[in-house]
Amino acid sequence: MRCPVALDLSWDEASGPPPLRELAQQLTAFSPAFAYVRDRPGTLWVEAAGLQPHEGSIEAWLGRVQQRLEALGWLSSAIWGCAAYSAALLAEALPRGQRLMVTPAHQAAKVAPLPLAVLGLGDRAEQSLRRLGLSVLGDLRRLPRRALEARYGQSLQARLRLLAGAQPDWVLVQPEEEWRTLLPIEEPIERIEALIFMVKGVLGQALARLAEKGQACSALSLSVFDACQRERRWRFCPARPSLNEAILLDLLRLRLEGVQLQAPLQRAELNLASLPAHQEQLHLFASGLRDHRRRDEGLDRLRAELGNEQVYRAELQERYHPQEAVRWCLHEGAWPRLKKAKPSPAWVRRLLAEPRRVDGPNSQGGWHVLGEAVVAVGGPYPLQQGWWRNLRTEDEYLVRTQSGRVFWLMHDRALPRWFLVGWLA
Amino acid sequence: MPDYVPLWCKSHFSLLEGASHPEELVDQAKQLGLKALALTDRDSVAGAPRAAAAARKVDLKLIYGADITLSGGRRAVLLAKDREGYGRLTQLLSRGRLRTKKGRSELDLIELCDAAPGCLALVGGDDGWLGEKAPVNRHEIESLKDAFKADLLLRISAHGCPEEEQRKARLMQRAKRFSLPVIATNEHLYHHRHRRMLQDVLTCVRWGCCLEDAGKRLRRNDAYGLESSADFSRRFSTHPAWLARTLAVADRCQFDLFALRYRYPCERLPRGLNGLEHLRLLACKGATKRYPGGVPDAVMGQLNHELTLVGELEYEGYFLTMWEIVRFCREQGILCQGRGSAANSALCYCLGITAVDPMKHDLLFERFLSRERREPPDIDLDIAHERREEVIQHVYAKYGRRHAAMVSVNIRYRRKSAISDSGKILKIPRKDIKRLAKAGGGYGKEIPEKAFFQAGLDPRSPRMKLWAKIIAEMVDTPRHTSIHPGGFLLGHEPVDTLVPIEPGTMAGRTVIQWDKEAIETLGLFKVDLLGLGMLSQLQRCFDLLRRFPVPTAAAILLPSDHDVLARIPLEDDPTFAMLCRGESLGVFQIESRAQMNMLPRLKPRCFYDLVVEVAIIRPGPISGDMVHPYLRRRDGLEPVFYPHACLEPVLRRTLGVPLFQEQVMRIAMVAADYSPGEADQLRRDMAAWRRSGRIERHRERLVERMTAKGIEPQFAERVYQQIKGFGDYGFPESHAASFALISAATAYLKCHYPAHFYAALINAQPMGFYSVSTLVYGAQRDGVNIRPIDVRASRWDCHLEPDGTSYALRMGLRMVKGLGRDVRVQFERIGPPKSGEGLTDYARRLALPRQALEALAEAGAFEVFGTRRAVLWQLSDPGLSRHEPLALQEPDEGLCLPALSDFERLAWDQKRSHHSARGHPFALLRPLCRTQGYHCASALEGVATNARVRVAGLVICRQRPHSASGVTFVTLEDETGFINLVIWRQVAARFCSLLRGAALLAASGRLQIEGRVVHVVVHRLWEPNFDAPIEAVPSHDYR
Repeated sequence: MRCPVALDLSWDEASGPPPLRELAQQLTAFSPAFAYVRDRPGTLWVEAAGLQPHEGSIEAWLGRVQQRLEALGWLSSAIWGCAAYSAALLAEALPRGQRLMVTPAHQAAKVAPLPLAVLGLGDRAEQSLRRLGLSVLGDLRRLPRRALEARYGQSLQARLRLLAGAQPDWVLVQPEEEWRTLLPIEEPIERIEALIFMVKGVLGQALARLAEKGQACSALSLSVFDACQRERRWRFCPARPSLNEAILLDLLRLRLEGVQLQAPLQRAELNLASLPAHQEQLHLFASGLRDHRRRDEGLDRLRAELGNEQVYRAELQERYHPQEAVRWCLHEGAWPRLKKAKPSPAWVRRLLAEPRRVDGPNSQGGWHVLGEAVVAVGGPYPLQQGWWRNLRTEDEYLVRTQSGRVFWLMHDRALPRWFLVGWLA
Repeated sequence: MPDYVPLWCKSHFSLLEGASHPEELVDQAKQLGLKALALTDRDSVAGAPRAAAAARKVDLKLIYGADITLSGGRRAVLLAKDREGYGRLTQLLSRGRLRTKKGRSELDLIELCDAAPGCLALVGGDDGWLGEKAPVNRHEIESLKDAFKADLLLRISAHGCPEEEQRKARLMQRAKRFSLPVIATNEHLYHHRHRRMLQDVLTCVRWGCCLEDAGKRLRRNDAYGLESSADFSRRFSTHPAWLARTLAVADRCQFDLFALRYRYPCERLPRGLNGLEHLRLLACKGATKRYPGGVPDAVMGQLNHELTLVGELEYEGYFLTMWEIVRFCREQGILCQGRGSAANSALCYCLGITAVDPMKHDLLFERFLSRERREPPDIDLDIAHERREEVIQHVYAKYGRRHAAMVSVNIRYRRKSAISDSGKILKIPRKDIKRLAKAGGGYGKEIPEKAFFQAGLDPRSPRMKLWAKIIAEMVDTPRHTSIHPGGFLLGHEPVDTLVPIEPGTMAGRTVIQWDKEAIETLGLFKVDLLGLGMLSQLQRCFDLLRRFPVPTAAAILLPSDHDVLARIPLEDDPTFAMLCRGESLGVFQIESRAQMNMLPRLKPRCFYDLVVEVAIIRPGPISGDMVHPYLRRRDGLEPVFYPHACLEPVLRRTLGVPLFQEQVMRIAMVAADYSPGEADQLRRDMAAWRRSGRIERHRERLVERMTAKGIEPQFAERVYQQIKGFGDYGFPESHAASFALISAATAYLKCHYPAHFYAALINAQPMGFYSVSTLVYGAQRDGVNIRPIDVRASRWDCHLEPDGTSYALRMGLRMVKGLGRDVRVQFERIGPPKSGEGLTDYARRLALPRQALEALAEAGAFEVFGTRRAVLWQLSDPGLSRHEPLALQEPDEGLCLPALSDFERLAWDQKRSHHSARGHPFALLRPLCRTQGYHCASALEGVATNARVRVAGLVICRQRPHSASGVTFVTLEDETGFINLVIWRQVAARFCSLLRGAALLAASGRLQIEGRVVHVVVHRLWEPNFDAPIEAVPSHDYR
């Protein structure tokens, strides 16, 4: 960027940082280029070079940018005229809604009273500097720069360079292209799995076309319409543009898995946004092999994109109660390695997704489970768990039927009702 | 209905597993009509004495055993058939415990076989051994069969788990294959199923997980309680023979814990003398030394009386051991002194164990030893705490690790710890746990509702109700074991044949599984070697007096310092004058806020006054309303009056007011016709009245008999109330006299050698009532010149430097926070910087970690090399590392760092070294304080009583004693002294958060002056606004 304007956006921990890429897409009418850096999640730099003749004055143009941002729900402050990093620091200190030009000649004097904390050096370094009696950026000038850099390492060194005018490690945001297609629905879709299957049918082709154009998918959105023309839309973005069909499908599946369809779907539209892909990316996705490292990176991207609280994986846990044997836990870090199975478990049991209500023994002593007569009964095995929530007292039974199948039943004493929870394979 | 005996029961002493007390298991077994019960805690017999006592009470047969942990997670239950088997069991447990870390045990199968003669082994069961699908090792089973023969049984359990069916089938098959008899045993983890909740909770604490995540670590159901024969036999209805076998096993186990014979170890005796003769000889020699002018007849008579009793009860070995330990201490120059009831004994005094002459002080011997009680004597020996470990290791070395081990202590859940542990397992937010722990701590099981409200929680919500219920269940449950402060069990036979020995958490310590109560229950002898910080301080003070001599101290520091304490004048006028002014900061036992205020009222003038002073500020005399009558009579404001002529000899020395435990016992003997033994029982019931409520039975008897003798019922009632007060905390006169000796010694040293005294006291920290900061300011007020930490002049400890005709106190490097032993070693090796040496070179030679150097720089120790900030800048050079050569540069040219302000210097001192030798922050604030209308402490005496005043200071003490009806006492400190605030309940409630948390406090209120005692009765509190960085000082809060 030749003439970057720093826009600092208000945000808090609860709402999370602003979606800078999306905002940049919304502001494409104002500038051809936007950028951000990873360690300043609230700052968006906008290229202002060459705009003055068209926009009248930079200040007026910035006013319109800020108005647009406000309309999108984001308050901002803006600084232009000086080095990018200094502009960002100053913008952060400026009251929201204001904008200011700072010339390079005044830059140092403006930055000097800012507290050291704006550099984000970490508590330890800040504490150490404060102990030396340094509390604002201007105080750093009292100390020899090389000695300071030697003591506080690359982190401070990089920031001092940025303060001196070096360019940040930008992530440039460029306008996206869009690829759109209607899914070939012949009969109304009732199950979400069928919808995913249908997406799978067209996604491969779509990605191939993007690859031919040297592009990769930067966002995928799926819009569906039911018989009443009610629309539902899901969208997700991989952290970096991708051509990996499996990953994109997995992400879609994860997103849709918990969705319940209230009515059959009549129409569905798949929309892929794309960005130019580097040759390295194209090469990477060409192999198509499963790679655990890439899987973990993919999951990381997913978490980065959707938020850490949105990505779950299933985990087996040792529980007495069948319904509690699986739990969904937040996915963090690498995918866990599968543990070696314990030496031959006594019985392999299959769990039903939901316990199924069945009949218990009748008053004559006869008992049929799923239409098969019970010939042998093991139990009752009392099971009392969860007293800290609501004590459930159940009896576990294992029954063998005439055909030799062994069913796993639970008897809820309180209701009292019988449930089939699984069988022995 | 077939009978059965539960052979696999675990009590609370299977820590964090069993959920019932041993007594509860025994009582429940009796109620269920069971014939016997086996207590088999996990690798432990810790609960055996309590269970044995309970079983004896209800006449139930108790079988002793343990659930043994074997390698590979296997388990076996061992039951002692006879004394030999019990000894083998405890030895086996010791072996398993001593080879692993604390709390664990592991034995292998071959070792299990060692227990065979005399023990029964039950193997199999729930742990998977023998019951799993994997093939069993035939050789192992054959080895066990060879060792145990008919005493090896296969146990089968039935708790209602589906896995048990399969296991049972396999066990039966294997029983047949190896010809092993099968026995029905369920694991009993609690006495009643309602304890299932507690068992689950304890399981979670043990595993460090919460209830939601515990999964199969929790038991499947509540079938782990004791059951009646009918219920239990239903579980094994198809195998009555297995049940019958439990009865047969019970019949074979005939060992009784009370049948243990214990012999105290013999000391090495001179040829031709037995123990008693040797003791007599030592006592006579000692008496000649104690009474150089000739042993008075009364003393000789008492000595003979005591020796006769000791001989009769065969306790001479115990006295010889104590004498030997005292001799060792003296030889090694370790200060020690017997205290407690031992000070009632002339024998202990002559042997040099105690330092108070019981004849001179008319102390009651029966309080120490009595024929009727036939209980082992209890001698507590205080030892300078810094060197106590030497004495402990001497005892281990002398008697051997198998013949000597320390007594354990069971740390039980109190409300606070229960709140914390249960909160975690319920996943209660940490801040809520913290708040409730703060508001709801204390004794008793139930948490008052108001504590929940104070913590911002709703006690009526189901979750909070559940939490409160769990806490109530947990309170009193043992959580872990620790080491008794100093109790040793010594045995002629190896101790590990009586009780298992296990490693302690402290290196070099081994501990038995029984606690003090268990030792008492079984009538075993315990030797108490207790650590006393003040003796360390005295020791350090004498050392300083030797290194930095003062002519007047030569008289007390003779070359042989065996009895240096005895040479300190106990009745020294300047010392008592100092105490009468309430200047007792740092003086043993009389330095607390309350004691400081009592001193100007009591005006001690002789040693006995100090004995009274030590004993009077205790809940006993206070709740018995004895303090004011005593003071009034002392001041001649009311006549000395004896409720009955017979009480005059008992109460004469305390002006008709009972202040000591012995006096209460004597009153019971004289006025209510108690025998000495009964009087001693009264004392015991006093101590235990909160727990047992047994004291009530004495009330009627005391009051009735005293009234019958013509004593006023009001006085009788007051005596009774005081007895109850003693239950809270009361001093026996002997104990007070022993402590008063140390008080007198420390007061004398403070009065005459303040620099030596404070240097020793600061070096002996942590100990006592006040923080180093308060001691340093106190020393400055006492005229001691305190010099700050400086690497050129400071040593590790504080020491003295010549200062004109006296000495100045140079603060030591030990005061700097975060410097460990390795830093000390390095400093002592390298020494101070050489003349002309720069920081770079010195730091390079020191080669300390950067944090240590920075800590020293912040504390001002390197100020000789430049300002603190400039030094810190130099030390932050990246080449600075412990293991690589330093690459420090000399100060950068033109380096311009802001200088520290005066406040900052004090704050840095305080933060880094717990004190500042550069003055009190209020000295800097005084001009501002004047403009804001705050009085300083020293000026308060000049203000008229009842005047309204404003004061401010650093909070150094907050107290709300039980005996003060909700009044809170806060002590503030400024540069001129202490300010005592009295805060009534309503005012405290209004300003509770300030009272709890503020380090700097201002108050307004009315002044109350009584003689030299000045109080501010507070109306309002606030945090003063001085706009200066003032570091908080550690305060002595609510202890």
